[in-house]
Amino acid sequence: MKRIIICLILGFISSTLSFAQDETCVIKGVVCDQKKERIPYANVFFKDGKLEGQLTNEKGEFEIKTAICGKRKLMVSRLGYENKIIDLQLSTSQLSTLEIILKEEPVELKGVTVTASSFSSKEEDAGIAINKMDVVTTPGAAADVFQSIKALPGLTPVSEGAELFVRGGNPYETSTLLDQASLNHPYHNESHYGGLFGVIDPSVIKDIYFSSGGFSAKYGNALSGVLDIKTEDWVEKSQMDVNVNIAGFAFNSAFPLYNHKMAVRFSGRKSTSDLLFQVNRIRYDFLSIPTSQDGTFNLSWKYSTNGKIRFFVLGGDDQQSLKVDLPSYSQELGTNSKNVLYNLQLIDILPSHILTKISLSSSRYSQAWRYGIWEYENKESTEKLRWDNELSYGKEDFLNFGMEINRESFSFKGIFPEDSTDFSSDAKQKVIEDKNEVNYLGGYTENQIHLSEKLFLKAGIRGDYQSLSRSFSLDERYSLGVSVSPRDVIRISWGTFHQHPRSQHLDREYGNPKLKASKAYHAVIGWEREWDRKALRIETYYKKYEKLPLDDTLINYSNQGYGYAGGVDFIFKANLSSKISGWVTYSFIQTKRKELDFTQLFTTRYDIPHNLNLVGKVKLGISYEVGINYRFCTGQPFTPVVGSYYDSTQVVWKPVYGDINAERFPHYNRLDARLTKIFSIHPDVFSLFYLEILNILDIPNIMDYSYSSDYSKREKVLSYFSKRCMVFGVGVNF
Amino acid sequence: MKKIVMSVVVTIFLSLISVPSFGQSSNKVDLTELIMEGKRMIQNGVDQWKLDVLLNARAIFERILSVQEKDYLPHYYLAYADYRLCVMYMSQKDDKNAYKYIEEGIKHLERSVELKSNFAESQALLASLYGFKIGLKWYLGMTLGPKSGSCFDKAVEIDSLNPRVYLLLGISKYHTPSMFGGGMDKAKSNLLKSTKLYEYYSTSDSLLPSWGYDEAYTWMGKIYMEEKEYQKAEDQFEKALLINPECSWVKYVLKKELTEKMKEKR
Repeated sequence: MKRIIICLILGFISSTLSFAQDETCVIKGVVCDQKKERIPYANVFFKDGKLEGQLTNEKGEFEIKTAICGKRKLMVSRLGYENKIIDLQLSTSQLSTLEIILKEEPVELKGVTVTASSFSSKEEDAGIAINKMDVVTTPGAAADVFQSIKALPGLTPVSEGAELFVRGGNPYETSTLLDQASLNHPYHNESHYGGLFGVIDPSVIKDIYFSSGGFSAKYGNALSGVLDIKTEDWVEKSQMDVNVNIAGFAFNSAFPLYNHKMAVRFSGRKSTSDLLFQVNRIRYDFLSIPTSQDGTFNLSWKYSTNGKIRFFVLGGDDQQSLKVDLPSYSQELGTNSKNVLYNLQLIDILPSHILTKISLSSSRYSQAWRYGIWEYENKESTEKLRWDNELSYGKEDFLNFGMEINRESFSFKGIFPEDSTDFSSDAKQKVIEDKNEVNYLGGYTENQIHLSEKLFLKAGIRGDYQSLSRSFSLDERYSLGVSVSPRDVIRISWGTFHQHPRSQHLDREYGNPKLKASKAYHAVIGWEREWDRKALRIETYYKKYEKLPLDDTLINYSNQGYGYAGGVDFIFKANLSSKISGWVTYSFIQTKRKELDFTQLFTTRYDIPHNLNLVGKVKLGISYEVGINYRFCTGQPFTPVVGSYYDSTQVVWKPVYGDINAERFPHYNRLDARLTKIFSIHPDVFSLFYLEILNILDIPNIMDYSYSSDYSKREKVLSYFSKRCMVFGVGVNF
Repeated sequence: MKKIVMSVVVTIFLSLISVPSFGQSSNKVDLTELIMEGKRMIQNGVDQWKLDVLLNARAIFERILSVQEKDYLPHYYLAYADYRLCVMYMSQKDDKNAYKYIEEGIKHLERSVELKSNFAESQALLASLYGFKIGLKWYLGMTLGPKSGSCFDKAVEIDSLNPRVYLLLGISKYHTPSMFGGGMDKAKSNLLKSTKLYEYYSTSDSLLPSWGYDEAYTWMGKIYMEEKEYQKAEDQFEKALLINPECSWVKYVLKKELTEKMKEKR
């Protein structure tokens, strides 16, 4: 019995001793960055066992004692740096000393930003961002999306209208997408001088992506640029906005339905320039003041965690009439247009983690003008099915693929003078009328991969088929992104881009239905740097055009046209403090083409060599903001009239033109300013008041010349905002 | 001889059974204990107004999440540490670091809400961080303002008797100009409600948040001080110190400020 008790006591003591045996292992070291600078407050800990660890001290040093030796995993983390996991073998007999190097988190090179020449409204996308407030508060942009985008580099300021002339291309060469649907006429009051404003109310816009070149294979049928707009489709809480200004009014409202499973949004705008002209004592020869109206409706339904169906409608129209004096004729010119888009869209994530989007859309556009006995009307309709898919299979690696089917119908009829310089009432007339239909089929795939930690490659291929000419085009597009430092990125994009001919060039009698797609090669190299809430981008580019439509005496148009555009774009954007922000852009371009009625390579009207834009905003107190927008560009080219002769047969003077685009208008200068104040008329309602002075310096910029009946005298045709002009308005948000 | 052999065998046997059982229980982390430690450390960091203490607390929740990412509570506490860090950096006019922690906090709270959508604490704290983000980038008010309001509404809907929801709502209203729906009156009414609810609110789960009782009185005192009702302000600060005698903000900053203002008045 005694011995049993002694054994038990001995057993207890031995087990206690084995418990108390000190097996402490110690690991110490320093945590540094790649420049060997010590990192304080880095979290160093064992990712297993008891998660023992500590923060490094101000010298980046740490020392951790652990009772668990042997194989351990040590993890090091610090905000702004990549996490690191180290496999260790700890022993009591050996002190482990480490020097741990952490890499700074690289600039995220996601899909949008690998490609050069891109601007996005998403703040989390690296690169230059244009946010919704930039659109609403940029002075002189009248809260219009397109006018705001014109403040970016690469946009040639051919006119004061909203149309986008991208790096030497005409507006038709920039594709505008609205939630995957094509918006072929995104402007109000389209004319020879461009549409004045966009048909899209900024209040319905959620995201904007704009590219001025080298864009991905996802976008087809565009030679120069892409504007991809996503509209708001959801709301958590009911809201309403009403805006009234000197040129019109707008409202929008949104509210959730059925326990937040559905959401409705609608908006409407009306603009009329009557009060604007009266207040500013502007005299134009309008017989009917330009007016426009547009509206949207959206109904969304979240049928599952990731799945959503939405139905969206956009409608708009505009009208104006004014007295136009031509050398041979003087009459009222009346124009009107109508635009409507229906879009049914489905967004979901497939079981294989593919984000899929399908859009079925239909659009109708009609435009008519009447000038005395002369008249013209054209109608276009488009039905489109588009399907886009995105599969992410790594941190920043993805595969995109998709397709689209378009059917476009167009018809036009009109009475024109046979001689385009003679609009007199007894001039010989020609009647033109035609309609046609063309189908397009397109498909693409692109892949973005890490070639190394700092090197991304995006490669895509796109094929398009057009039914009238039965032609097929193939585009290869590549982008390379190199993160040369945590703050510096170099982007290179190159590839081919095709665009189908315009409907007027496919007309059976006055066009060529067999006309093939025009082609452009893009090469873009850019450097971008981001630091301390500042961003800088410099890009140089070259575009070579081929197969442009060229007048042909036999077949009306051939694909023998060609040309080029090259230049440099620069943008510097900064938030200098929480109160001061702004950006400056500069573009240089040279461009020539041989297309349409050009007999050789000529300077085009888009060749505006130097273009400077400066935008600055200052926040005063909590509710005021002041902004300025200064624009300068060298004069736009035009073809001068160098003489005239009298045609006794037609009893009218006819012009003698000089070399095509041989002269330039004077330089363009304009300074706008804006004052914004936020206030409240009720505790739960906030309001915004703004006052803009356009063209503060009252500089009469010229956009064209008009001539006397014998072409011996010419008069300046001033731009839309050639006089100092005041605009003010107020918005209320519930 | 037999008995000696028997003794040795029993001794060895007892040693062996004790060592493995020690190893099994001593090599695993007690996450509950760690959460409690982190929670205490955040409170110490706030009371002592020490950056390194808050960073250490944050580090604890980072470690927990490295092995248990799908737990809503560590995400909440990590974001709560970020909330406190952001307040500290903003008081030092270091907007850059403040913004960094706001973004991190929002990320973790959005994950917490994703993991447990009916946790009012995460909704209310998320609403507050959205508000902080607007404070640093005012133009985000148009998009984040409604989001913040919606999160507060959800928090109230989920747990209408939670005092911290009204505390955060009151602080948010204090920082929001009246023209945007905030102001002193709304701040006071929410903070008063918070102080009343704290008297009765309790939870049996010690892991869940329990902070803020002293803060509700602190903010009430601050408002009374700005409204020049100094006696009322002093009462509120005393109540705050009764609940939490370690609160350095009241002890070393607000009471001192109040004393100076009271002297000026005389």
